[in-house]
Amino acid sequence: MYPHERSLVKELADSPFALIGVNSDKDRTKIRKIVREKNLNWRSFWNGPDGSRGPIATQWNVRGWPTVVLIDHKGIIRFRGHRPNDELLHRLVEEAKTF
Amino acid sequence: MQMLPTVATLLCATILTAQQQAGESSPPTPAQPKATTAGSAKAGASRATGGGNLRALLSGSAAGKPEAGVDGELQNLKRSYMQALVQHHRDRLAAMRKQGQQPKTFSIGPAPTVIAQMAPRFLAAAKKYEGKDDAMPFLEWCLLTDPTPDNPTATKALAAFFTEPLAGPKCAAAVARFARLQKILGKEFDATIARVLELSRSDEVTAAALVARARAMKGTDKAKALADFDRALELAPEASFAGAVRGERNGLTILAVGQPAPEIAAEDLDGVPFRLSDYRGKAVMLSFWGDW
Repeated sequence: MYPHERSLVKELADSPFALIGVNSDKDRTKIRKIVREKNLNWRSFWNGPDGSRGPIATQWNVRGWPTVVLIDHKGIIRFRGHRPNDELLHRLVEEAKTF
Repeated sequence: MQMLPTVATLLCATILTAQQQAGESSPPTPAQPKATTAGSAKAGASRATGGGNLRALLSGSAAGKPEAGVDGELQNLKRSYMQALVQHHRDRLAAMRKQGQQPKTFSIGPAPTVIAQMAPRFLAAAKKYEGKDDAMPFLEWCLLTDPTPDNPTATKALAAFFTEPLAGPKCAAAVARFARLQKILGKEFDATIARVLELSRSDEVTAAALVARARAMKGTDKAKALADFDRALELAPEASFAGAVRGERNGLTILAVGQPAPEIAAEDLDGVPFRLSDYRGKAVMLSFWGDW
């Protein structure tokens, strides 16, 4: 996933697009180091010290990792799955442009 | 030129599936745990295991260290099962390779023969704690680990289960996971849940039975499932499974495609607070990830 996500962020740098992570590692210090080392160029919420059972993943009913949710420019959920859906993502970026 | 996964990789994925099947209440589960291609087994293992805990569990170090008391006893038995399961899959792969096969897919998961070997130890432990809530996790393992329909381990455990008082928190936690019994019990599932509801001696266990029923039918009768989830949350708002049930309820309602995304207001990895709605006006890919 990392290379795919990195390249998406680069490709869509000038488009109305944001990749937002929700990170479920328990140790925030460790994950900060990984973000630096692997050059993960997107911002993430932290799911808290309970890791995968933290509040955000619970509220969003996430029980398989990775989980991807696509949200359009109006804030409407348009897709949810365990694999990226680049075709729809590009369509949503186009929708956001014409907004 | 797809590389076969190493045994270590397989092992990792195997334990994961085993733990999941064992109804272990912890780590993240992979999107597709059951049959994997050689390549994705590796991807699954590196991306989606709760690696640390599982490895510790296997090696007996750190968090997985044998504990005293009933929890430790359960932990130790589960560890023995996982070790036997890993060995089973290793042997299977070795045998295939010996015959010159280079399997492109290698299905890992609970092995009925290994479960049958381990079951007497779990049942004996349950017997030891007969009449107490502590017996429940041992019976739960026997009930839920082997997904084979009508398997003898589950049948024995179910008989023992109904001789126990259905009241405590461990009982409730087990019952909340009973949706998995649907596959094992087939037509008997509905009657089994009805019997739990009838014999339940606490709101928590009653709520858990409603949760199990709702989980089993949420794909076919959403309205009924929602009603059961709601009643369960009314009965036992503080139960161990209540948080998960709220999430599942959301999954049937406010998280559906076409609904407005719920707000997230939390800190980023550097401790700086921000909101999902800060990105309104842009297409957002929300990615739940972890570097396990």
